[in-house]
Amino acid sequence: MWPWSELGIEPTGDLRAVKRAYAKRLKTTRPDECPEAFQRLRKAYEDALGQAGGPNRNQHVPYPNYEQGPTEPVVELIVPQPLKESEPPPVPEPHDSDEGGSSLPLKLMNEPPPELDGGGPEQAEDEPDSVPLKLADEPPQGLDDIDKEGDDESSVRPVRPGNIEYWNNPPTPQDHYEVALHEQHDESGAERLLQELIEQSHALLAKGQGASDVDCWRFLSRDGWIMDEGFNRALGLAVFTALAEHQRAHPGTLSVAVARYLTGLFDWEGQAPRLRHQLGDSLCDPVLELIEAPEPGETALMGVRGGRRRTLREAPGQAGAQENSPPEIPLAGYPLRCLAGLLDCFIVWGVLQAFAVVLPRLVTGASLMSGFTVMLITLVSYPVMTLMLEGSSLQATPGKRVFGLRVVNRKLERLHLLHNIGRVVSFCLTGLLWKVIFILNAFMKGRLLHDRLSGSYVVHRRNLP
Amino acid sequence: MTIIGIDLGTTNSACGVWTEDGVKLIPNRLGHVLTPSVVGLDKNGEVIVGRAARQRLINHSNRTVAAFKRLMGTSHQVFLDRQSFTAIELSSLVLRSLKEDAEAYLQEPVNQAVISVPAYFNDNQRQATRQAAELAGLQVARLINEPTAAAVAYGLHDRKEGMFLILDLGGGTFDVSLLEFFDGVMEVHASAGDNYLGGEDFVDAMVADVLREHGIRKEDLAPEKLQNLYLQMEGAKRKLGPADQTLTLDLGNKTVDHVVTNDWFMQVGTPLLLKAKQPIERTLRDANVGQGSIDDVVLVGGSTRLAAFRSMVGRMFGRLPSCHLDPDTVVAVGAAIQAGMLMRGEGLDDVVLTDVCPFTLGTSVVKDHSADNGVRFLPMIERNCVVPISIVRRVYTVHDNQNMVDVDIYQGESRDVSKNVFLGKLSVPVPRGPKGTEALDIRYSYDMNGLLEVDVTVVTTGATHYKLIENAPGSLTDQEKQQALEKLSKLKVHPRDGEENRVLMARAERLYESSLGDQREHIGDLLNKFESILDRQDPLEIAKYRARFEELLNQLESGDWF
Repeated sequence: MWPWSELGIEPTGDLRAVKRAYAKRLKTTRPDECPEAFQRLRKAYEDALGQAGGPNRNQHVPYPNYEQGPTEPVVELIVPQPLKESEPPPVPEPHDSDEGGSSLPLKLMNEPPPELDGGGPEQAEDEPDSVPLKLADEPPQGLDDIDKEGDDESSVRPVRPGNIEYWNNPPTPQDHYEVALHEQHDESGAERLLQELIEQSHALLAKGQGASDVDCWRFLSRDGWIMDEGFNRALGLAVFTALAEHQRAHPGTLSVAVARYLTGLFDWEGQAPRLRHQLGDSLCDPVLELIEAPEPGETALMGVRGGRRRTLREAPGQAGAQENSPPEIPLAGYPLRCLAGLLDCFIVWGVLQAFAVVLPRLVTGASLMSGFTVMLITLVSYPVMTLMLEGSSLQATPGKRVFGLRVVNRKLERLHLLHNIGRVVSFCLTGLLWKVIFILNAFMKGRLLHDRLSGSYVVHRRNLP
Repeated sequence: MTIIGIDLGTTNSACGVWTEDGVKLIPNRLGHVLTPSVVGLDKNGEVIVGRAARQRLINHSNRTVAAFKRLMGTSHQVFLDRQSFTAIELSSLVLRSLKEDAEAYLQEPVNQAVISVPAYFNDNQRQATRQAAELAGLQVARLINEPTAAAVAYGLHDRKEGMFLILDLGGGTFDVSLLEFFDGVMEVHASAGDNYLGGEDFVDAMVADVLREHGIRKEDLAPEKLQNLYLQMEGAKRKLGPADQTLTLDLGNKTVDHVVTNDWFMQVGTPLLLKAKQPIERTLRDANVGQGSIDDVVLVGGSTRLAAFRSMVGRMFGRLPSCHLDPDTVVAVGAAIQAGMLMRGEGLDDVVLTDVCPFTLGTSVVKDHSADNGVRFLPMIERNCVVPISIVRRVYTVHDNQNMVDVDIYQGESRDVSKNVFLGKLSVPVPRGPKGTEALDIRYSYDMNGLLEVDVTVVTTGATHYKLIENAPGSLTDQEKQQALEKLSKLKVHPRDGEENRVLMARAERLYESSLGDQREHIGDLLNKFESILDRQDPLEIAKYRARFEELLNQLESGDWF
């Protein structure tokens, strides 16, 4: 009977027995040697755990032979976990009257920062079921289990969250847990600090600087309180709200770098479900989308030390298939180029004809040169015109201009003079092939021979980004 | 046939081997267990790897590079002098040096290795690591996740059952793994991490803060001054303690005294510590395990020595984390144990390791019933599935008379494919027909090495198209691999012996360049003397003078940590 037969045991509710059986089978069904059999065994194991342990199957099974023993659960330490506040508290609320200091994180959690719309966070508390929580089904008896084990004489002392004193005088590793007990909380100080930081954030955003300049946000982490979960959550929510509202009022101004830096501080990515629930999708989406965008490649470069310079290698594999023209360049087609060329020649011929034949004939009655000479000069003038115009701000000969074409380099910028000379020279050189070149160019997929030689491109203007 | 275990780290690398009496870490040519992952070229174009190269990072920063592991799996190149290198090639030089050390130690040729990679390395980065090994003449017997390797080392060391959280903060990456050890089974429950968070980032943050304070842009500072600043900060980070340190910093146009206090370090490091909390929380969330269920928190990686990091972990879990194995070498030990397992070494045949795939892998599909008719991510292998795993899903054509289907391969968690990492593509021809009639079975297989295989079967024709991810960003094609091999074989490498002398020379030269006046002259004299003794080639005399020389340098520069 599945899954028990696969594991070779009778149905049982004992998680430990299931694990033992799985371990025994695993020794002969090694994942690297028989992957298929392993997958079947694994499936059986997971099903068996599910049947044996119900929804708690991932719950920790206490190991009796574990020497050090789990630590004594310290009530003060149970700062609300992310995404977890909707479940019933696992232990009775802390009664910390004798120490008085540790209630702050909890208090900050339960009270929305004054600048926010008060409805949000409270709503979250009231409607526990509506939050899409991953942790919600975690069994609450986890801490009780440990209690029952009764290893009360724990060698590890509790460490209190949010301990300013601690940051100011960090002790050596050996004794820093001891020192942590001697802190004094300045609770009202933290409240005040929170307000100050929130106000400063609003001010930064109002100035517009906050949306784009990462450095101006560094004040947020100047104080050790940000390491405190409750403080961090409250500040994170306030800053997020401010940022989201700013983004709504001025769309597109918020930079990815700022969003990334701040999510590094407040884990907005991990808390996205909570934020969405409290603030609504429409407010959250624009900011969360920025955060989700993939890591820019620059991050990889940041840490590298030394080296003369670093460059990007062209993507391998793609190069051969794509005829070494990058796909983002919207090349103009050959027929259009031919038309533009013809039009150019016609214009040059027309101008020369007008100045050398028609005008002189009107004035003096005799033309300066024969029609054949005009044709010859046209051939020479065309490259000269190209040289003057394609590198100019027009970026095209009149013919190209008429058909909406532009001459650009790889980065889609205007050619500089030397580059353009190269282009014209290669045009003249390939022109020596005369008739052959027109046929050859037709098969060049929009990058004619002289384009290739000079590394320039002729593109459609309307397709340019 | 011996298989060695290698930890190819961002800052340091190490290797070990399984023997009858457990793991032996292999000393390099200097007798050290750690080899800095630094590569440089000297003025004759000969390759220098390790400690000597690290000394030269400051006064020859144009010809030396460190922390290139961060570029694995990207298309970036680094120029050393006039030659360009990819991260794969640089890593292979380090691997080659480790291989030589192992061969000298074992007195036999070594051509197989278990290499550790950060758990959160994606497929591109794993492929790059594998290719680096190939270039170094090593066949990869297994890629093992670093925290898993560390867990193996701890698990085998203590033989203690329970649930362990492994936090691996190395030079450049941060990895978190939740591992359970029971009845000889090491089971990884969940992994998460941050590929761009490590000890180097703390130093980066310190440098950036100093420069910001004095209004200097990083680009404006001369390379050797910048490297020196990095070095001073790195040293200060290591020496952080109750006492304040005063550093004299040369910032080009001015020289300032900077006091490094714990307070300042906390301010600078807090954003990074907060970033480190995120994968920890995610791991616990993914595995559906409460903080109370963790039996032990284990710290791995040199950067976990930071008191600030330890106290953060301490406060998260309310307990003292374990770190009784050397955090710098524990990954290499684990890799060596894994190598021993593959050789079925004595004392290891009763241990089985299962690992997970740390991220979701999938493809893109058109959802025609969705509102925006958009392309959506279709997860195939969900994150934290136990590997090896193989999953098939069926997709259909979306257009009438479609004759080609592109199967894009993505890694990530976002519904929007453009926000996930593109791993590769498979184009499959299909018979024409009305839309929705032609079906493809896509199978994703993720193996023990963390490498993905995709095959696609056209249901009507039965034709199967198969792909191990290739032409991903940063990976080399066969032709490029051949070229790289030729290039690397042309590079001259210093002979193994005499390395101590080179390290000492490099250090003295760096000191010479950074000091002034009498001290400079003094070092110059010592250097000249050392050189003339080296020329005489009398090993005894060299060794004698070397010891004295080193002592003298130590007097000039106390606490040389590198």
